[in-house]
Amino acid sequence: MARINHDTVELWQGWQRRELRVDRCKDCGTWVFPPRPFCPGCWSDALVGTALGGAGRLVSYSLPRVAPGSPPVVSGVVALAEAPGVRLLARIVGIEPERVALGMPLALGWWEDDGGVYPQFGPVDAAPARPDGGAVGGVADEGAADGGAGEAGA
Amino acid sequence: MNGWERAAIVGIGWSELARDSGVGPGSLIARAARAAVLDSGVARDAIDGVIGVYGTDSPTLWPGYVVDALGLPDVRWWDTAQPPSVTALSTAANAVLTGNCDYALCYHGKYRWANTSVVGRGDPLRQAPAHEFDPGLDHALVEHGGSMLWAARVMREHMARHGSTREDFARISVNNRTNAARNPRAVFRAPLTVEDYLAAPMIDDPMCLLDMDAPIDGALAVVVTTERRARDLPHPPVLVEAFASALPERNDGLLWPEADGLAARRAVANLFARSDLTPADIDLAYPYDGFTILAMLWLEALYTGPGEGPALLRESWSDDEQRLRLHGRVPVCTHGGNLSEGRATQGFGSVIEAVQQLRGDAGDRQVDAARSAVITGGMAGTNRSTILVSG
Repeated sequence: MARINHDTVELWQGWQRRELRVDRCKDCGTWVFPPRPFCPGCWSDALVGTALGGAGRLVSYSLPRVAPGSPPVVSGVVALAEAPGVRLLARIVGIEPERVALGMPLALGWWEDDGGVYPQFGPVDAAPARPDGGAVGGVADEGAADGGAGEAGA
Repeated sequence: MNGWERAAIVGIGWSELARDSGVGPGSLIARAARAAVLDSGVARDAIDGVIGVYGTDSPTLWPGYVVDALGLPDVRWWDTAQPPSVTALSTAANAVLTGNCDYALCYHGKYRWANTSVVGRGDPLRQAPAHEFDPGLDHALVEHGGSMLWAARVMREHMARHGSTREDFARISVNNRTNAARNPRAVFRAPLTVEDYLAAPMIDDPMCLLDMDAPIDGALAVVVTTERRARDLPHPPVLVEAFASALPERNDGLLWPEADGLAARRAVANLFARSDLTPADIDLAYPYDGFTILAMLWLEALYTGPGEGPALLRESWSDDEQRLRLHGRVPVCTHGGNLSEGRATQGFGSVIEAVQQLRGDAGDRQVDAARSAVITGGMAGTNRSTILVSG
């Protein structure tokens, strides 16, 4: 079960509809995520929830220890191509762990358990990894800007 | 010299550091605090400030508890700080420099929750003290069903981008363990080889068991006053030359694995901007090593460009000694770091060790003619670093 709070309840409700909505500032265009009270770029309150297809690229990943016999877990940081500066933590599925590579294009899918529906990502050309999951997002844009925590603005 | 008055560390103390102390966090912190006051030569009744690390991911103690436990009659200033523990030291230094208090007792303690270890689960009394406030780790991202160990992704990114290898990270782990063999405070003192590191179980690939500090119980404390007052006390003072932090926008390592390296470079630049010393002048290096990747990033920030840490470690490695000597001279984590003393210390072990070294009081660990130390603490979202010098 996810830990939902006032900041994340709308995001969570969107997930239950298999919809990824991210706030964007109506005034300056900044994408705002994780959910914030106002735009950190221009301080405008005019944030507009915007549905995304979910094309992304892998920023980094790890392979957490799992119980013996359990399938491997790839735990990833995904930068969304349509929303520069927006990243999600999510499982990467539909690919053997040894084939996972930084920068690989990814597409959004969903998985669910008793607690709810969650986003996951898989290779853009992959077959669905789970009966209720799989890649349903659009094709990743080549080299989409990510607005990372680089030296810009340092 | 930095051109302004400096604070001084005049007393140090610590409790036992152990996997299972068998006592509560109050006992550990009170014992460390009493030892620090006794070591300082400051009269108990003269301690007028109490500053503690508080609000971390395990039970810690409100300064009021420490005042009562030590029977301090005239405390007129208190404060708390988040880990890494150098933040509490800097808060204490600021308090004595502004005159809010004259002699500040500054402590850090760590105590495992019942759910953080096998030993903890077996002890139903291992619960938060009544004052505990924990803001929790509820993340705006909601759970994703995988690993929240952000540092594993930082390590992965470093390896992928810069070509660093597990052998490179092994040198940090082995170096610290080699040094810990001569540190009676350390919990882990058995010798370690690069081969041992490579054979260690993966916890969150690429991070293995020997890349991370282990949860333990323990507490450490110092007494801080001004440089002028320190001259009248028994020990040669160790002066706080400078403090600095860097808190970059997008500092949440769960989403921004590159933020730790960026923060480290900015923090080191900020730190040395407040001193006439340069990194090359420093005799002892204490990069934060809660994870080996953090030590790698801090060493790069201090001595090389981004991604050049592995080369520095290879050049600095002594197969005979099984440890590092940067530029043929500077030892790293002479006490073994968090990796050897455990996660009770969160950087405070480096403060205790540096004070001992700079007093010339480090026993068989003593580094000849050591006059200065740099201690870098923490990660992107929570870092504080300091330069300490012999007075």
